[in-house]
Amino acid sequence: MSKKTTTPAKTGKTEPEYMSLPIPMKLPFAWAVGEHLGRFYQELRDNAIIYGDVCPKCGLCLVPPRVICPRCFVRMDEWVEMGPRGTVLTYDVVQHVFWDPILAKNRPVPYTHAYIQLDGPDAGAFSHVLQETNPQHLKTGMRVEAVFKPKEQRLGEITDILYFKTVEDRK
Amino acid sequence: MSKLTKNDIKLKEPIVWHKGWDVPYRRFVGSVGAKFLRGLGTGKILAIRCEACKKTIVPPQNVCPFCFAETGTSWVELSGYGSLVTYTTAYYTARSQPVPPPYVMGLIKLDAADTSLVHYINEVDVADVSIGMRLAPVFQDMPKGNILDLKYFKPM
Repeated sequence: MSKKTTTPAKTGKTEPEYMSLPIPMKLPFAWAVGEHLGRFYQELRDNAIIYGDVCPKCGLCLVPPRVICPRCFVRMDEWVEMGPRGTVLTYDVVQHVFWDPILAKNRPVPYTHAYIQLDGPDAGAFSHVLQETNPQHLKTGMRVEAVFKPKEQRLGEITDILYFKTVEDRK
Repeated sequence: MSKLTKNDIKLKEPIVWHKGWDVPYRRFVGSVGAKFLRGLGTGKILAIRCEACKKTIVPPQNVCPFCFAETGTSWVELSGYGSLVTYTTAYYTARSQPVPPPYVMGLIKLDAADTSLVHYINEVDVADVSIGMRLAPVFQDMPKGNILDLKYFKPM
């Protein structure tokens, strides 16, 4: 911008003193994940197994599992073990620092968010992060493998998977 | 790959996440709001006088709520005394409340003002609050730069 920002001309009036009010806002909540997702997170926590569920009608496989197939609206009552390896469908290296309300601090950057097609039946994209953050070592179609937290640190959350590491592997 | 049913995966106990959102932010009050809040810190209730329609507005605003003109720079200091227009008593406990219930919040028409101010009514029994009662302001000894530098209104 070439135009210089200037303060208002001296008019004899005193300049306003701007001020702001800090407004801290804490919103605690408890969320019961339910019976269906409960199985998914329990197996993640106790056995380090990623489960998906399969639509009996169209064969779509979803990770994390859902109760109802989003295409056919029928119950997804078949369960399959997925991964732990998969193929990167797409990714994005996040460089921008932003506030994470759940961590209550700025999200550490850079990190790589990716959609991963886990090995298994016709699987949908599973959203997670990759260990690799150098864009020169990333490409779609690369093979990755889930790395879990040590068992005693796992809480039944999606972060029980730390990240997906790059593996040399042909599907 | 073997397909399982939900009975093959025994659910031990419900999984409940206890988390929270921490959303800190700052609200900038502008030059008019800053002047008002600084006034409260020194024990003064300042109002802005609309240069177009001559109404006295408290809390002061940049734009007149009566005629929508820009209010300008004409300020007046109010006596702080006023009459209760209406009120409500809160008995319900919620996490976001700044004071424990029961408490009374009132709409207070300050003398010489054309608008009413929302604030706490205190130092009075809840049953003795009545519409039209005369009120006087009570200020904070240690001002913090927010609306609670004016602690509450009490009966005169």
